[in-house]
Amino acid sequence: MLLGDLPATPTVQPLGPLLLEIKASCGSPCSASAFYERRTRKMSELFADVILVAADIGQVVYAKDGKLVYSPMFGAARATPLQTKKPLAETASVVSAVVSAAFVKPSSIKLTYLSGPEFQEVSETIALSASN
Amino acid sequence: MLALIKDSVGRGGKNHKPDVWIVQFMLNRCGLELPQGLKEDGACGGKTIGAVVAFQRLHCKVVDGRIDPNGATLSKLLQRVKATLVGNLRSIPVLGVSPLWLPMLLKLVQYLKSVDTKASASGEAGNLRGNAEFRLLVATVYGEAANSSETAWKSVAYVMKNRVGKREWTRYKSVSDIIKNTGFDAHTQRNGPYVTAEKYLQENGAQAGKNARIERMIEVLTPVYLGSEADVTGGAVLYYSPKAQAALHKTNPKMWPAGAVLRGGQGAARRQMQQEQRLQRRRCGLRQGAAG
Repeated sequence: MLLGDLPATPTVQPLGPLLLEIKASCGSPCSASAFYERRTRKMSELFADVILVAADIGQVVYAKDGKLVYSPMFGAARATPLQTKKPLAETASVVSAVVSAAFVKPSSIKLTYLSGPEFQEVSETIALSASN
Repeated sequence: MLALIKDSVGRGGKNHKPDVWIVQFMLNRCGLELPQGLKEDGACGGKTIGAVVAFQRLHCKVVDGRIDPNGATLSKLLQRVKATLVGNLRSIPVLGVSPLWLPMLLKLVQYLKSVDTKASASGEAGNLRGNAEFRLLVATVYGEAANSSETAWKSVAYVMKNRVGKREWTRYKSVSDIIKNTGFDAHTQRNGPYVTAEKYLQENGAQAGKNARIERMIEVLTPVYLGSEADVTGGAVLYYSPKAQAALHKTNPKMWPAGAVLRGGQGAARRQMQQEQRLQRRRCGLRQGAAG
């Protein structure tokens, strides 16, 4: 279990009756999360700076290479960029540009984020691609 | 120097709009736990009076819900605001203030420059255990870095304070807001050390307890919270654990590059921060090094 190698003590949070998130902090803002599915005993890969999890459709939104992406929680990670209408503000860490995020439909995310040099707050609903 | 407020504010006060705005601005930045913050509109209602009472309960001998121009409550409030603003007036979020209130803000800045936080630090240290925000800060630093060095403790606390009112954190007006909303996992995940410290601080109240490590942390973080010593981080707003980064880098070098984790690189973030600080100083009429 890779998270066990971290110096910080990971926390375990149930995300529903069958799903657990194991999360370790590596700074602020900096975290690593893995997911465990009790029924199938599957363990996911590690995800950096997770901002949203949809347990029912098995999707996770997280930060990768300075961008927000989403991917299936289990199996081979297929990171798809989350396309916002306006560019995210140039924040020190990409997750700092996210004010809030929530699934509003099974395959849509309501994202409130900061954009531009004045850190203007923008809200929009983003549909996830059907391929994921 | 002209009086900061012309007349009394709060219960039974004259409540002139400019005076009320100054008080609301300070109450939002004095370390008080205000769940939604006060609307800074110059109108004195139940919430403003409630906040004055809450502040007085923590810091004053008399609790009457009113702030007088030369009273003890105003003096304490000025001290607390200056301490909460990292002992650094440059962190006042000038850009977010309506032009209507800018003259009042400039007057307040002049006053804050004359407040001596060092003189108040020793007297207030004993009371900090009763300060909800300070307890939150200690528990979170303990949760994030209990087993690290004292310098690491200070660094984590300074990162919290340095974010208040800056850059992408402009809307957060207090250390409590920063801890609760900007990625301090020890608090949001309530990890073991965080819960231990939270419980310890609640159980012991204003008295010292027997956990030597937490007691030492209270001692180390008191001057940091009060802004009565120099910032050891030079204004850092992010921190990461080198050990954790190294361990993660081994697992996935692409996702966790070795060293810096900042988008655009640390240089870009630092340059942007310095540019904003210069702009704020120009607008406040402050020179570098004037605060502290």
